[in-house]
Amino acid sequence: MAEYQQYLQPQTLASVEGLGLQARLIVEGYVAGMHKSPYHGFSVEFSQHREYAPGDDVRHIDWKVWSKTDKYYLKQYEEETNLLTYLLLDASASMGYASEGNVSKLQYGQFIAAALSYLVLQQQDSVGLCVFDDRVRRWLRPSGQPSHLKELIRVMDSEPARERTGLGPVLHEMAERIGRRGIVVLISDLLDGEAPELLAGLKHFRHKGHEVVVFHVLDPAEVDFPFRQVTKFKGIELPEELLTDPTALREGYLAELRTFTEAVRKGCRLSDIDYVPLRTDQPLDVALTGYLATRSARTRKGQRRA
Amino acid sequence: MAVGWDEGMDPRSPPACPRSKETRPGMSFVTIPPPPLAIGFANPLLLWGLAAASLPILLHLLNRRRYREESWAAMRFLLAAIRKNQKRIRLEHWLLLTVRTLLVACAALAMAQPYLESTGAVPLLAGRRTHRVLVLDGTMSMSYAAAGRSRFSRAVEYADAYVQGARNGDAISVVLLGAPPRVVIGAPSPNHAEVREELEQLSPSHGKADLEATLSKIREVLDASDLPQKEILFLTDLQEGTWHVDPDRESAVKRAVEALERERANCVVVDLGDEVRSNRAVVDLALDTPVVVRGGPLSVISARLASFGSATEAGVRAQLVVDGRLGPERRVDLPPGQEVPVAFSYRFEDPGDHVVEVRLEEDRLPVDDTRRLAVPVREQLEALLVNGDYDPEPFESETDYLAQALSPSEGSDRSPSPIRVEVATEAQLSRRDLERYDVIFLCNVSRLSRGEVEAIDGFLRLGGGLVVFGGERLQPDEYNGTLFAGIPGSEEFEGPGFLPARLGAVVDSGAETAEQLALAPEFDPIGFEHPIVAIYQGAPAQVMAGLTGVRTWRSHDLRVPEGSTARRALAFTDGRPAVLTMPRHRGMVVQVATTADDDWTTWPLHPSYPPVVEQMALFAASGRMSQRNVAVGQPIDQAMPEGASPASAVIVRPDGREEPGRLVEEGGATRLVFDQTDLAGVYLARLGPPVARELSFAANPDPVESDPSRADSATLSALFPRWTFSSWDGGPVSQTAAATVGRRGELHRGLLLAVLGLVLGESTLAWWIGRRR
Repeated sequence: MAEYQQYLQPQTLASVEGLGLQARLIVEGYVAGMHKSPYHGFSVEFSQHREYAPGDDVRHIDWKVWSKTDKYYLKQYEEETNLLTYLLLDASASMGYASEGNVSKLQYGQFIAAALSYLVLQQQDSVGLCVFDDRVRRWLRPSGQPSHLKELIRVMDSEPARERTGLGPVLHEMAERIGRRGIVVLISDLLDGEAPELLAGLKHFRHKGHEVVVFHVLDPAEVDFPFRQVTKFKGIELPEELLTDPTALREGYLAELRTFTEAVRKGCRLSDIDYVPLRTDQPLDVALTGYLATRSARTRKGQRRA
Repeated sequence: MAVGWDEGMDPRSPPACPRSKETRPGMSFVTIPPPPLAIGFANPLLLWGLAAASLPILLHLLNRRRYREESWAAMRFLLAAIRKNQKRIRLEHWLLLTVRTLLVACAALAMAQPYLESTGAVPLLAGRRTHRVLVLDGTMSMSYAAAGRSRFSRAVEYADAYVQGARNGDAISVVLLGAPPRVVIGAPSPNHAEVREELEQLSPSHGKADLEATLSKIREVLDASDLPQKEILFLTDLQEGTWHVDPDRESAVKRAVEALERERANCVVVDLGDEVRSNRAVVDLALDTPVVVRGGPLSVISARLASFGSATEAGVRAQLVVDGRLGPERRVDLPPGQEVPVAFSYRFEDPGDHVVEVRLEEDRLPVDDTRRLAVPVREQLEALLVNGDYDPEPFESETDYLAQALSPSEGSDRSPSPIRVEVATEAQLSRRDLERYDVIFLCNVSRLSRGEVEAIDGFLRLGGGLVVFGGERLQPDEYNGTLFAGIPGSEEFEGPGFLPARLGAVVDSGAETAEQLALAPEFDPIGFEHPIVAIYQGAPAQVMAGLTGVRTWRSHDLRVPEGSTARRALAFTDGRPAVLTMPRHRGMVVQVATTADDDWTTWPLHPSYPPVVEQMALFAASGRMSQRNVAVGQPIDQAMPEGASPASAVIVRPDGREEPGRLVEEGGATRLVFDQTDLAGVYLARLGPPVARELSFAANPDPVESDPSRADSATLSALFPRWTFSSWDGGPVSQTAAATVGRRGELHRGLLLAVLGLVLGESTLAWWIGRRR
């Protein structure tokens, strides 16, 4: 059990080959640490049976089937299978930044995306993926097939682009492209574009009736600005170079960052969007919890709506 | 403010042009005013240290070159931050950089020891014309020579550099520290070349120092000038003997120092002393007898030798030299810190003046390796016995015992006695010419007329000796009224009286029966400390009994007043003084409580009577001899016997210079006075006409000056709290360094304070800036 959990540390996870395996390790590690199964998607309308897996809620075991076959099956319900999750993974150049000893933001985002894909597919839900930088690079339609995972992972496991992110337009484009309502998961460092522009994009999803989760992935160095000696900062996406004494600038930088994140957080709250700030040195279960909270909210709403 | 180096200012260049714009009819001058204020530097070479001030800037630039690179994603926040904070950051940077640069610059400047050098245009505290008083230590210890140069010549060298380094318009005075101090140049001289010439001719004395007198002389010299800025430079070896101040004189010296400080005088002491390993000296030389008479017994010349080192000096040769002829030699070991006595015996055959010397091998301070004694040898000692109770019967007259004791061969054809005795009656006294005698004995004289008292007073002023015996006929009221000397300092003391004690009632224990006599008081020799009875010291008991067994049944009660300088030679066993001695003028007075014959005492019948009265006579006459030997710095003051008063006197000093001696007429007597005894050695006085005579005098250094130990710096700083002490090791001295020795610390103290402030400021600033990061 403990072995699984250690894979929630992104640094440890990075030593494991293969995003598929990494995704499984995350989810298994996460699930092993919980008292209750995360697979809550159980409703009234029965759709099919599924074999019991460790961690599943025993309440949903179909005892009739067990009495006949001596095997554990869970009952699954119609509503759940229709749940769609769209993963939007930012693969712009800025996501390639990694401070010393940490995984890059993109890799961290890939962990999250892969783990969520795995989790969603495990729950028999459908998951789609969009990898973008300044425009949509790859687009995979949602599917609930377990084999879909391989495809998802192949797509998301790509190098960061060199171009700048155009977050606002991309979000609008995606909002237009996604048809069925579902959960939209945006994994990005949000470093491009101003807050209003970003929020407008996110609201577009809300407008279309999606639940939205924003995973704001930042490197610890970006959050803490720990530099002491004179440093020449080279913009990854912006062409500027800046030679400065970071100690003198730290306060100003942090204030700017705070202002931005606060604006985003506030905008998200007003639009009923879940905003989850993440650092790449943070265990990955935070992201999963964030997702699951949104999903359950979505489910409850769905129930209410139904 | 202009910056000028001192080397650029040549003191020999012509005086500065008038500063103001002068307008005369028909013509006008416009002179360029000199910079109002300039800064000089004591150590201009250290100004290169200012280059270090660029260090913080260099470090800053270097730091900017050594940077790390970071590819940065969140560039937009960084750019926004720098847009908003750039001004503040730049300001902080410059502030910090300025403070650091200033810090280094101040430290470098402080090391260069700058001083303000105003040329007078700005009436500021610093840099006006200075009255510089050079005080050279002229004591004997300054003759100490190391590496072929005496300390004094080094002091002169430094003084020369100091004068050369002085600015135009500075006035210079020169004082020689000594006892008494000598003002070489009193009126401040603006002519520096002249001062330097005067310095060249200076030589040290062999005397000691009188710090208090020197300080008050300096004060007088300072008062002579109206220059507002004053500087006093002491060039000294800081020898303990010179700078030590007795605790009871301390307040006076402190007052003198304060007086100098009230004058706003900047006092600087330059220490020229070097490490002295050893010094040996003859610290004392004496004869065993106060008066030497031709053909007398062997005289014992005793010298005391001392070594002021840390190790014992073995086999030091001490040689006796009499009148330039080498005598016997002794080899002694001199342990440190102890005085070793050496004795020679010598018989003076010829009457006249002799010079006795004891010489040691010369060391680095040669002056104190020889000590001299001028010994006038008399043909005979002349004694006048005044008989107050004449009786033709042998040994019934008052003075018969005394005459016999003083001159035992009187009347016989044996070798003549050293003392020639003349007896006179009371009535004959006024007709005698007292100057002829060395000692006068007054025996049971009832009273003295005013003329007689004055004659005796004159006799004492010439260094004669007086012995007064008591007796039945003596009128105590007369004595107390006219002869008592009084207490030193009182009005009475200034009068002609000469007796050390008042006469009380006659104490009589009775002598009718043997029992009564057995109860009469005896003599108490008080430890044989007085020279009169010192011959009995260590004598066998039966010999001593000859003195202590004397019974005196009647005696005057001698009442010595409080504060008197009288000394007891003998006392009675009941505690009253029996024999008192007191110096009076240049002579010596001995007062005896009992009689000279056997009327009141058994003394004349005892074997102790002849030797003790002889010692008494010699002791009383010693005043004549002591005038010949003085300490260096003390004036020679010799009384001339009447009738022999010469028309002129020339003194040949030890250095061969001939100086006129002063002849002072006083109370009918003539005295020879000479006060330039600043060197140790023999002073020969040539007197005449009418009668050509030569008198020898010896001046000896004070042993205090032989001790090379140096003054304790803690004591010095306690005595002279605001003085600057600096030292010179004898290396090459630059004019600038010498002239500015007093200005060192003038600005650099402030600069150092600034450095301290900047250090604190820098840390505070750095903390304040860093606090917000």
